[in-house]
Amino acid sequence: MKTGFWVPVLLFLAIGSITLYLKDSNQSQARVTTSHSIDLSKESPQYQKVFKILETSCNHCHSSYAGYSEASWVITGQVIPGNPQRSYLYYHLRGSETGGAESMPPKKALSKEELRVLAEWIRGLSKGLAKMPASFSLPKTLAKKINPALTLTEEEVYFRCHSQFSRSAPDSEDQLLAKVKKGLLSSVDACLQLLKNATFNSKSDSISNSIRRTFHGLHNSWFNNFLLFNLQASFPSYDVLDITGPALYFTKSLFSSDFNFNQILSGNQNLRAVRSQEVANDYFIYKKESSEMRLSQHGFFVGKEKNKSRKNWNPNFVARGNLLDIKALKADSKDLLPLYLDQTDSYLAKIFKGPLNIRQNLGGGLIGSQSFLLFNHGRELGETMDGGLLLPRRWSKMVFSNLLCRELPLLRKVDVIKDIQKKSDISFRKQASCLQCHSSIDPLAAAARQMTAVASSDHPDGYTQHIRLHSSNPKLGNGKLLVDSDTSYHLRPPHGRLRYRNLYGKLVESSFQNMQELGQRLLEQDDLYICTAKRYLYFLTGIDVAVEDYSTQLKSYDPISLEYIRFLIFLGKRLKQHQNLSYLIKDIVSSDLYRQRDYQIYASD
Amino acid sequence: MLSLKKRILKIQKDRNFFLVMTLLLCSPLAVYGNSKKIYRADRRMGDRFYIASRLQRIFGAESSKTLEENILSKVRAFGGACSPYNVISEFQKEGKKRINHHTKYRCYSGLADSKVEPFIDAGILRTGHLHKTCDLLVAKQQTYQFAINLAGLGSNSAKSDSNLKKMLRLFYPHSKKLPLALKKVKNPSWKLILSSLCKSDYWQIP
Repeated sequence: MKTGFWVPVLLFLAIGSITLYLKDSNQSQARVTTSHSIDLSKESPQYQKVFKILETSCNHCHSSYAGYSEASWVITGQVIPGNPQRSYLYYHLRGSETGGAESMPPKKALSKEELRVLAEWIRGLSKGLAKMPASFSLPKTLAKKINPALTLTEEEVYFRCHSQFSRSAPDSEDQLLAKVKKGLLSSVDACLQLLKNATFNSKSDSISNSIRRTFHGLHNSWFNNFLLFNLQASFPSYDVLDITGPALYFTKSLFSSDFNFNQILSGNQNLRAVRSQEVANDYFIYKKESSEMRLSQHGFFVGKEKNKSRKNWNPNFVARGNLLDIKALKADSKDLLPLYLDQTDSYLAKIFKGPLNIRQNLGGGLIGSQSFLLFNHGRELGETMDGGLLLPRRWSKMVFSNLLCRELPLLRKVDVIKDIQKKSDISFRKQASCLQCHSSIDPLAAAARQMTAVASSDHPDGYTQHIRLHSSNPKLGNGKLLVDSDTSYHLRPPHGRLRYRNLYGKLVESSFQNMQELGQRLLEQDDLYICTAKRYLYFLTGIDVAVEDYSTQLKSYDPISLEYIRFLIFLGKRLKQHQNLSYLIKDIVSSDLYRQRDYQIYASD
Repeated sequence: MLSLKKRILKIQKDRNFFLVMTLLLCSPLAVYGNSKKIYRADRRMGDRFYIASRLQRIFGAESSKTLEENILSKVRAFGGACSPYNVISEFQKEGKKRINHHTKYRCYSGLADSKVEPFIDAGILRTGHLHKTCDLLVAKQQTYQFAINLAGLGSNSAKSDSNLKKMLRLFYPHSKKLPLALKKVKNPSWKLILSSLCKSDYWQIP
């Protein structure tokens, strides 16, 4: 063929590639904002006028508005049909006389006529538009999604789950494998039997030990915070407080027949690992192998050197060896700190008389456990919460992130307009954009208001860090939930509010009186179950599905994404029903996806 | 000779050309369209414990030191969290020197190793460490011989299809067909075949 043909072909292909590349780049941004152009002829005449105003005055900064249909404004919560005063879009316009915090456009205000057109459009909007996300109906499922040529045999499925669970391939003498080969046992049942063999009341063998280690390690990787706020305090603390503490709740649920999934967020007991203790603790786990710091020679201390109250302390250490069981932790005399300090500076530290029970739990199971509180308290030693600047926000952020797989912000601007406190001295309480995060984490953090981080002593590297829980005093009354500063805040009853948009886009607003009730509120939602399903799905298949407010962009997901969302919701709802992690694993292992050699599904229709 | 501009003008007159161009440009756009992907599909590889366990079974106990140095200690390349309290460790006196005993579950780089991902998709780090391990294990006579014996072969065994299958099954126990690539290699040494299989990706996906 002549070269004259290829020149324009290559030119067009290059243009095509660049267009595709730009399209993909835009799509990555589209997770936050939708930037598709729309067909204006399908919109109402009123909105066509509004669109022109936005195009002239707003879109050069807010380019995503170019892709907003009438419904988009309502679905994203920026416009409340019938109510311009409460609509985020109108509220922020300069001269709208709604008292908005941010006047827009920044340089030139809209004319009175333009404002009137906008207000009239909002007043005339149908309230039916707002119902769209609530219905949350996913498009139809894929008709055919597997590749039969890549489907595993029964034997291969067992090989797969054995390899994943124990991190070793089954050997030729594996009895379950023999049964699967003979057709006496299905691969799914054989996989479940592996889990059953690893339950805590079963006899321990090397495969069962490996399986417990695998899943406990997996659960532990979900709780990524472990560094204490004061780095110096780190290394002795991990020998007294289990670094895998939060994960113990999930592992117990998987391997104990008497610990349902909902018990993870119930009760007021800390858990302790029972391990095989082949050898005595001999060195700090924090130290690397080159270190020669030995527990027996180093020692732990309580008290303060300056007033000569410092003395040796002999705490209970975290057990070592293979994980054999997980039990409720009952504090004994070794778990009581006779003295403790509000900081480690010898001159400034204030000393407190104990006993301080270092195993106390605030309720709500995992979320009120010492380890989850301490690893996520995020405040300086000695700080007490005042409901304003001082709140354990990292803790509440981690409740959303670690347990619900959700990252901030979790509210739409329209949700937080009523929370704006114009007279507050705290800047983030005045801005809607700040409150999209703070209106979720602040009222949640109120549940953990009783906690203060303390140190056992002022010894340079012989102190441990703990959580002191102040006793609440009902006589003080509830007081306001969010204040600028309340010196008695940490002593008031720990009431608060769970407030976020769940993954169906529904606004959850649920009050609680204490941590135990917060645990129950979280268990009532689907998010916790779907988050757990997401994590197991990733571990077993490598498919990582993002969990977010799906409602606003349902129509823009590709067919495979929709299939995964559907599967995830199915798994989560099933878990909520049966409350059993083994069954969740069973649901995944029995799926078409797990049985595909390449762990992929295909959109063939 | 016509200039480029004239050639383009000439071609643009061709109606078929426009049809082809429209298809070329529009079909990928139509596929990508307004679709948004909400998932990430990582290849579900085995972690460092799985890889070390499989290789130790193939190359024998003599491989353990190589595997510890090149696989087990490479936590960030292969994934697989350490178990901080699963470590059996005590400082023992041996003469005047203190010896530290550990298990393979120890946290090589500190406690952050206990929070790593359960597996890590194939990347340049992982591939590099695996290639080096395979080279070392195949080069070492004891480990090479162990693998050859395990496959039921000898160093001088013929490169027949049935013998190649025996070697293949060390890494791919469920494989029934001999891959074409393995058939087509002309007179390879068993070392080369073993090394190539060891370095391949798919056996690492459980």
